[in-house]
Amino acid sequence: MEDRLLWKNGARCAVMLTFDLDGDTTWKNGNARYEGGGRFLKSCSVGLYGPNRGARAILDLLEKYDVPGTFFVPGKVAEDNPDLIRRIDAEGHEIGQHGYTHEMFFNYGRERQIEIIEKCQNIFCDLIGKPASGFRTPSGDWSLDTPRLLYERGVGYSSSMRGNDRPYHTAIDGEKTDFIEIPTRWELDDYVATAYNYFPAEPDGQDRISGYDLVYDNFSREFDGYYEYGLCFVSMIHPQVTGTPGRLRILEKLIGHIKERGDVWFARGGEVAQWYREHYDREEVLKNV
Amino acid sequence: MSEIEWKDGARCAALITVNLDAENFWLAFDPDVGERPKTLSMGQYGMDRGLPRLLDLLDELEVRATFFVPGSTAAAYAEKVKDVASRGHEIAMRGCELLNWGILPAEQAAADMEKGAAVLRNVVGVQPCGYRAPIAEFTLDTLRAAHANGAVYSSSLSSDDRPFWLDLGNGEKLLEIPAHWALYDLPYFAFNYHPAMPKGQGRIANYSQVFNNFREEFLGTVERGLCCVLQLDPQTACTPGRMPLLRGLLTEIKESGAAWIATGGEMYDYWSAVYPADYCNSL
Repeated sequence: MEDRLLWKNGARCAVMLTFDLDGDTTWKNGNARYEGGGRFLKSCSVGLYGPNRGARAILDLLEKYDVPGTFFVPGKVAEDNPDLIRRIDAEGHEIGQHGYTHEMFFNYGRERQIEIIEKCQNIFCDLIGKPASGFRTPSGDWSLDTPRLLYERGVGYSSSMRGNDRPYHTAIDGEKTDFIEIPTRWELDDYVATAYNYFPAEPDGQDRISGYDLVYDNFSREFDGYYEYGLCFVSMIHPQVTGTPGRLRILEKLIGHIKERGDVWFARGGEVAQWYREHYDREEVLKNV
Repeated sequence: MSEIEWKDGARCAALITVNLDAENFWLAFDPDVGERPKTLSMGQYGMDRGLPRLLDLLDELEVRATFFVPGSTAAAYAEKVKDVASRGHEIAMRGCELLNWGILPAEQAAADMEKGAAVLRNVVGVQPCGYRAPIAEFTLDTLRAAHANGAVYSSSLSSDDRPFWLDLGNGEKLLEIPAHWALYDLPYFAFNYHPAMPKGQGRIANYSQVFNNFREEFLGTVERGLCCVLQLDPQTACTPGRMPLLRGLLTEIKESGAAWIATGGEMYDYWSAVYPADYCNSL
């Protein structure tokens, strides 16, 4: 029998609704592989739907159900949509780092990574008067030194890894630290289930958009399991994908399903990290509190 | 602007659109297909078997649709395209060949657009006013070429769920009536082994799930008072097994009473009268 984690107010499990507001950054990065790809309109319009429409409809839903979200926003998308970023902050949601243009940190050296991290902190300070406390690695893997570079610059947690379903203390240079990882999973990612583009192909093998009922069935079954085991359920939602009128219905149904349970702690990333740091030591053992 | 006022107080708007890509879809996918009669025959199926069924269904439901017709299709199937027009549907442009205008020279796209528009004018005898770019990529030059050939609206982008005025950057504006992948049947259903479609050979999607996705998008559109654009290609949407689901979907949209079912041209007329470009150019 697994140990059950202790959550705030004795909640049975934690739920972190996270939103990767990538805008057109990922499309532009992909299109750069083609000569003249900088002029492609259609694929970028798929991404722009996120900040233009999807994120706004999602904010309305979060308000309707009175639940907090954590938005991981590339610095460039924040610069392009200042009013939206201010609205996210003003409505009590958290904003985290997600690269400047959704860069692959895996490909970058120390200096370039530092430049991106600091540039994004400045953008958030300018827009909402505070730096981000969390980070989600964009486009796949980060570099081996990324967590240290973040931690040294005041970023206190990440939600990037896939190797657990509860938070843990990240080891940096072989030592456990207070840099908390709040892992998520591909099966909780709407992009995996429903993102599509014909050219450039998304996904690469151009598989079909999944049936919405089946997507909801997977998500809600995962939540039921996280609740049963008392874990930290981290949904990964992309406003450009989930923002369509039909897919918002999946999200709304999921939030409704989770809320029905009652004893669930809906938390922002920073709150989960703070809670875990305060209650669990670096051996992941409950402190005497 | 929060709530859009749709025509006659409708709760939302719905466009039923048809891409008559026929075998030109496959020719654009891989030019070698010209020597592959089996692959070509999938596109021909759309014109020979799918289209008549679709037209009968639209007649029966008294729904008028917008048909985006490549010049290459109109030239090869002139009588069928005339029949579409004579049954009250709108004929709109899709260029001539269905090439990837994102990666081809702008001058070539301009020439293709001119040719496509000329073929349509010859076949149906009227100047089309709408345009939809082919399935792959395109640039602002593509839309400028469409505008230069008489298109006042386009239904090619995905950045919104309501019509909006798109600045062409040359002093002109085009009404964009955005469409989304989720509401297009062909990407769910098209399949071929050689050349491989889709690239990774994903299975043909489950019919009930696909039409349920369409229905969910429609229901969400009603809830939020938006404009949804259904894209059908008769070569994939109109197989005997899919027709009952298509009939169910269109019947529900019609009978809901919630939607103003418009053609692209009607949407253009309404939008430019109620929300003209100079009144509200950024929604």
